[in-house]
Amino acid sequence: MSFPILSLLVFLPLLGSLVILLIPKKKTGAIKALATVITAAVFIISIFLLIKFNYTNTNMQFEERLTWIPQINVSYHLGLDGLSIGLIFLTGLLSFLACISSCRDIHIRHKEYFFLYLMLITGMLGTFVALDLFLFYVFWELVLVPMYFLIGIWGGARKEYAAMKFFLYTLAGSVFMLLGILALYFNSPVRTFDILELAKYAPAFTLGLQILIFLAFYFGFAVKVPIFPFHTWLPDAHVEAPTPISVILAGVLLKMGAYGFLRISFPLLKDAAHYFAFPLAVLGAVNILYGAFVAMAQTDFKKMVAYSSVSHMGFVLLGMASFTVTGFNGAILQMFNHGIITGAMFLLVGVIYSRAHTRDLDKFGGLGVKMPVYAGFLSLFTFASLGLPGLSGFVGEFLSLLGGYYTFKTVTIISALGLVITAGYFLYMLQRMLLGSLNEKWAGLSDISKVEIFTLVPLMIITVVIGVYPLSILKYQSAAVIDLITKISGVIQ
Amino acid sequence: MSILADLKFILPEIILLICALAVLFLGLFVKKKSILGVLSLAGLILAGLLLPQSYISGTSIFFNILVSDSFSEFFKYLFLLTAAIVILISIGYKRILKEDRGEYYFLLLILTIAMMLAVSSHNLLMIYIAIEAVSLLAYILTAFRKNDLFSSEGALKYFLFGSLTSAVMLYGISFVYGLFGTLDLSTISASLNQAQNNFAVFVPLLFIFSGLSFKCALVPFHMWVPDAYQGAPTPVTALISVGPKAVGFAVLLRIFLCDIFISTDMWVCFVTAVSIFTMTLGNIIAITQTNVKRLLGYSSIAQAGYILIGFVVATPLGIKAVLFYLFTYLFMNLGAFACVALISESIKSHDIEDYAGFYKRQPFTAFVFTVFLLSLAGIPPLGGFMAKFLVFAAAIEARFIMLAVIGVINSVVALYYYVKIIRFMYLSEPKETPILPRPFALNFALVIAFVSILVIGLWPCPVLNWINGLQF
Repeated sequence: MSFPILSLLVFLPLLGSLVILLIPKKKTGAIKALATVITAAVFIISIFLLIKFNYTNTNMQFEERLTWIPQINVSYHLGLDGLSIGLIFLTGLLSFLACISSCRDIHIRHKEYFFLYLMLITGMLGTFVALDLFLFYVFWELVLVPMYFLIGIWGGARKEYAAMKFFLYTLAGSVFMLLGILALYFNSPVRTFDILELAKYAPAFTLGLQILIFLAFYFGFAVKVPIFPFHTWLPDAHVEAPTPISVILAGVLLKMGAYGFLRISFPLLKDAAHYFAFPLAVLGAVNILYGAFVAMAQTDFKKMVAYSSVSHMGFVLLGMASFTVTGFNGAILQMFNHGIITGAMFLLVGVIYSRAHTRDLDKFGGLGVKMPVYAGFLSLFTFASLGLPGLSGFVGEFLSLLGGYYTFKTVTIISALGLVITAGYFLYMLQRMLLGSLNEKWAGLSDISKVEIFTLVPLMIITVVIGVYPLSILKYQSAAVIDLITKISGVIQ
Repeated sequence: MSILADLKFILPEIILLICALAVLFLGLFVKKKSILGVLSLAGLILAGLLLPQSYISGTSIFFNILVSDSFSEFFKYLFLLTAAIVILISIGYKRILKEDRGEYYFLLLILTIAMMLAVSSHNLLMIYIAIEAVSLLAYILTAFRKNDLFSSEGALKYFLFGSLTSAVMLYGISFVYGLFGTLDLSTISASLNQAQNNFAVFVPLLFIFSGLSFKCALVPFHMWVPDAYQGAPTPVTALISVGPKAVGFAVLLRIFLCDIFISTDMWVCFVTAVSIFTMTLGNIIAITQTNVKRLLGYSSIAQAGYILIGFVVATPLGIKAVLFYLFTYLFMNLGAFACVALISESIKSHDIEDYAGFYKRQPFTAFVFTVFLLSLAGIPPLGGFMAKFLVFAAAIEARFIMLAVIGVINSVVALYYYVKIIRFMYLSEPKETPILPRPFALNFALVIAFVSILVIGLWPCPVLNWINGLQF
């Protein structure tokens, strides 16, 4: 067996969190340094995987398989393919950047914070590489507990409410997923939790059974994505969470749900997936429009970005529901882009909040003069987010819509209106923040600091590179997408 | 086989009896009372060591009154472990007066013997006697703090409920005797196989089930739980939340599944309803509780509801799930109560609001308590998750979809109140922060429970193998 690099990737943060437990509480410097080193190492490993990854191969790579609980056929099975490689890189990058941001933004209870933070990273990475449903579920749930504390202890004014809501919503979704997992296990001719094994048997299930299992998984994934009407935890959690955690929430956690559809629901339950294609597309459209309209009504900067996430994840859903190669490519790319852009947006919200201690858009104005560098970053990511051609956001949304149009014309045309509304609220936000006369209260604001620039520059580079040359990231996933579509639909569309 | 030759099968019980008498006697003279605790522990360990030698699978002893099989051996280990952990908790628990300690350990050990006899009984009369012994000892222990009104009130309620249900159970047993002319379980099961659907059989079995539901704290025989749990000294609460409950389930399994297998529609519907009501009621009432012991009391009612799912489905996997659940439940519930005992020593309160900011006072206790609570809530990768997983797996396998759905919804509801305790411990700031020393024995109990929960969650293979190897 080759070197277990995926295990190293997944469990390095957990190891780090255990080491942090041993460091005395007072030595915050050492704790921060260790956490940064660990997340940097994770990031480097994820880059290494990106380099070593063979994107023409549609099989699992870096695969590891060990027996875990033989009595019920649970195995420790990890692997990486075109669907997950981008998300691993995204997780590695955002974990590292959010860790740097944490070192600045977190002022109390450092030891617990970084302990939980590193545990969270293990959960997220594990979810993306697990190929055994039992293991997948364990990692999936492992994310919840640290996240509860991270929002609940270090969050804003209504942190306890938001944390509890997040915990209950996601657990409620995932317990149904657990029943779905069990239903797959007991109905398959060979009792196994292995996703690749189940992909051989599950497509032969009757439609009724597939629909039932699909719905069970749907609850788990829909809460995470989040799909309307299960989205109400998101604005609360995002707004109350501290900046780095908002970045992780929007950047990585939301992707877990969409990834679940691609990894489990679609390939295993393909008849049910086709059966539900239209409802999913409609829900995608609802997400896009509803999210955009609600975002427009917000005066809280962070809440606006939170609702824009709901809207953006709608494009992912629409692309997936189309069951075309273009749509899938668009959906996966949109997941990646949304992680990068919205991650950056939350960092930018954090920058202004840490200085002004308010996020009320109506209270700002004229910051373009006072904080020119900040204004530059904010404008760039805003344009990326509203889908300006030449930046990454455009490519993902365009491909999703293109794929969607092939299958559902009306729904896609309606969804495309979302782009206009998105442009509307983002430009309105820019106007209120940067233009107009400077509010005297903010005369003392300093511009963005070097560390903050350091966290934003990588995201900026990626945004521009993908915008100009989308193949740089699309090449990793396209073979896997074609393979997936062939498996689901039988033909390439 | 002669009675004397049969004695070797109950060697562990004999050891415990000798140990109990020695503790009672020494309690009169010994000044340093912790010696009594250590002596009791030594007795339990010795009994545990002798246990594997004392059984030959499937042997009936004492004229078929008792049976020595791997099923009872499993439960005997469970009780010895429970008693050992409870004694560790008790050694560090200051509210049991010094002069009563000898008596206290004596009662604990005798209770353990009664529980061990109950699970190896193979005759309805012996089952009744053993269970009655367990109950009586549990009443006395609940009322152990004589000057505490809550303690007396709890014990009185416990006693009244207990005597009512045991009378009902005895009534049921008398019917069985009238119908079959014997109380021996294997003889009954042989004749019962032809008379499954007979209503005349259903009623007495229902009565027996009622008596056992009281032990398992199933709805509607759960009313004593919150008061008894609140009133009893915390180590005793820990014991009665695990020991008698396991006895109840063991006897349920033995009577209804292993010996008299009944699976008529009416029976399944009835037990399903009991399971649903038990978990739902337990969880919903637990939400509003402000006293930690009462909250954990309702939580243990809900847990019994989950365990009963395995009994309802009555498949081999269901039975294994029940056993696995009980084994895991032992550690997490005893652990949780050990934390409550420890915390109440330091803050002199059982009110959840007084737990505010406890993470600052004793980080370790707060941390392990959190782990126990999350395990009770069924969060992976802790032991409680494995247990719930198996129970729900059994339900899905046997196509009890509705039951499984209600079960998982319940576990979400339960999360709310478990996290409520965690929220106070971690998310609120403490009023004052004196750091109090932790008694060594209590600490030791916590570590045992904590490690067990982690191991069962991450590496459940040994326990699963053990349970797979049991013969029913």
